[in-house]
Amino acid sequence: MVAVLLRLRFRVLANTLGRNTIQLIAVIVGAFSTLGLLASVLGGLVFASAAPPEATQAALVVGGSALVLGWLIVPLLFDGVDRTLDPIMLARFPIRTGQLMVALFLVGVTWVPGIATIIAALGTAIAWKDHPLSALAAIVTGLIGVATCVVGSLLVTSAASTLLRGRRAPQIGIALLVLLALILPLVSATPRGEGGRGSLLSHVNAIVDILAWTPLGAVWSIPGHLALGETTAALGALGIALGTLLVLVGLWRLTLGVGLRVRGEGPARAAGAGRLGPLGVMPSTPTGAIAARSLIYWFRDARLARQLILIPVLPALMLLWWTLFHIDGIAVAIGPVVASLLPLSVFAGLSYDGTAYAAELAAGVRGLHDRLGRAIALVIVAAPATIIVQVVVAVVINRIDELPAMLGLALGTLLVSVGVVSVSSARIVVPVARAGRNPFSSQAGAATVSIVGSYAVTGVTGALTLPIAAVSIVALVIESALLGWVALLAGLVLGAGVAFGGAVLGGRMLDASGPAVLARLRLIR
Amino acid sequence: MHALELRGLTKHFGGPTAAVDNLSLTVPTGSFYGLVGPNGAGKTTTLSMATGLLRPDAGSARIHDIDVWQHPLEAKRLIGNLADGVDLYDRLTGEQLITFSGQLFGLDRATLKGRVADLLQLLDLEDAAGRIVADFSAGMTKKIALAAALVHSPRLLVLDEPFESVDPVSAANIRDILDGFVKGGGTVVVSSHSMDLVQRMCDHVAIVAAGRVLVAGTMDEVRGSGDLETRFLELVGGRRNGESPAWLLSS
Repeated sequence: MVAVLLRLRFRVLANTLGRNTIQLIAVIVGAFSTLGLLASVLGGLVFASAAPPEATQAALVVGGSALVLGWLIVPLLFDGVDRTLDPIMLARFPIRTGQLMVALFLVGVTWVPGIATIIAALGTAIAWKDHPLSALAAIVTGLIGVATCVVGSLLVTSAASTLLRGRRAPQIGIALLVLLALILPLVSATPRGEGGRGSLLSHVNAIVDILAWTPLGAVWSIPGHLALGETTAALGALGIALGTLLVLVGLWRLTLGVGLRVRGEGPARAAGAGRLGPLGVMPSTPTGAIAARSLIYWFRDARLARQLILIPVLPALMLLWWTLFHIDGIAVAIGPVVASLLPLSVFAGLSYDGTAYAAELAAGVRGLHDRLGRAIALVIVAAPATIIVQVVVAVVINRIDELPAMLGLALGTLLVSVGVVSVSSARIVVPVARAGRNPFSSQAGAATVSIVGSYAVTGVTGALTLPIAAVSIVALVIESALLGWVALLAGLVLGAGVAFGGAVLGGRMLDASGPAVLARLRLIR
Repeated sequence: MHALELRGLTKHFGGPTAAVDNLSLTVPTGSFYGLVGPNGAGKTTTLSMATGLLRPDAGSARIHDIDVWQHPLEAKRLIGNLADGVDLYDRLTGEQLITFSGQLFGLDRATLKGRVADLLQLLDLEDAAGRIVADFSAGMTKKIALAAALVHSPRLLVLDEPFESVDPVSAANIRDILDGFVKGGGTVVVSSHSMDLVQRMCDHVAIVAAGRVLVAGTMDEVRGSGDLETRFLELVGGRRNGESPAWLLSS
């Protein structure tokens, strides 16, 4: 049965890639960049083998923990997890949960990220080539580490998709609170440094010591403990590592069971007749209708609402960094990062509409009206978030006087990126999960398209934001209040210019290629 | 002047044969036109090209003498389009979806309010007005899509499979609406697999197969002395005289 499922998965993969050349190219590009990354990791491991055992241990624990954390978080951020074997779709066949779990696990380790992780994890043996016992142990612990990564990621995907499957905002609110609850204690528990290089180094050492005993790092610390002659510690860490894996498997089995019982989407609460929501507030024009529809979707479509989770999470993580290193630059960057987050998530926004876009095309809506409507909705969602985050940050880092300069940079970034995605989303269509399907399911190569597209959009946004950034940064560095206000004005005026320009350009592109875009949307349906 | 005039429409999707092959069709104003054909005949592709959703490789489509591909915005105002094989913005409630569609055509709020209420009542969707369209059954989804196609009072209705999964009562109600629309001077084009329905409902019919029109004209011309289904099977062929395989009921 497991073999049948695996064959099915590769058959589906081959058919998808054979039908869609761009996706195939994306997979190849993704594989090559992973190969490059892997080469540098292996090089680093060779380099680490020459270092004293303590340093090797620190590097492996930090790197390994980051790897596990990455496997846990990435599925939440990107459309990148291959879920060809969606348990829901397989529910009508007689398959045991155990068989399904084995098949899902094997799918996880037989695709680009999984293979790369296996090679890197086995590669940790290289780092211990002068300590034969540790090298031998590293092969075993490497495999346990891979299993932890893959099972953890499957657990996160399964739990999050069950949680977010409905269309109800409260569930997303709960998910958000859980994430905050996980992150905030980290912020407060972090030892607060008073600056200076010596304390920075001791911070890092303290962090390594803690990490080595957490579920994230324990498995990677075992060969190091052996190399340092700490047999008891090695056994303890092995206990933690195996316990972690067992708990993850158990939880995963549990969420799979729950996920299968909660079939399909839960019916949403009726909104009530006569309640038009934003559609009743916005002007009764094509632009107003599209803005209102986009607004409703930002909160009712799990694929978009998922992005809203990041708004509080990312600033919290960056503030954590700031408390560690006290570099104000990091804190100042929070505003612009949050500002570009939501526009970036819809750089291929028409993909989320799918073939429903036909409604706009059939109505003969002008491209400009479509672009403006979506841009307005985006600003309505993102601008308050940006302003709140920026004010909080200014208060936390105690530079409230310089708020205008920071706001100028943040709001300027927001408007510029809105303009840029108005153009990019008129052209780029990526395969995404269909509305109502599992928001965490996605197709091979989609991650690469998303990442490459995000880089391109970020690059263009960065270049266009440069003039605003220059004024803001000078204002912040020389602490000039007047220049701060100039930065705010520049951010708003230049940003609005780029936003409108992007809408005009994107609108023209859409007027010319609307039917072609719909044809592509039909293909990836 | 014709409500819809297709001239030499052609579309290739990369396969060895064209999906629509030099297809020409004239739909007189005020007619109730049925488009029938086997699966894969190119009906949906043809209607997509006629309504400005899919650019033809060659040929032209004119709606009341306006070229769809030269003046798409003007032509699309005249069309009420129920496309097959496309999703709806199904995170909206039924009422929101109709309102949204009307606003895309620039209807003002007062006009829209009355029309949305009328359409919900006509299509027995009043109870579903406040529910999310994604929670609708297949038939209700068809009806809400039809309402969205009617809301801007088009002159030509192009309906791709409007009766698919619709229950008999609703189907009868929809037929009444369409009959009234034609009596009032409008034109309806429907594609359907149900020969019986098309024969009872339509005054004109075209049989399409392999991307070409096999025969077109008034219902009486096309079906001659027999019924439409007999004529269709004669023209299209493909009937097999076989019993179901022995294993089908063996366990």
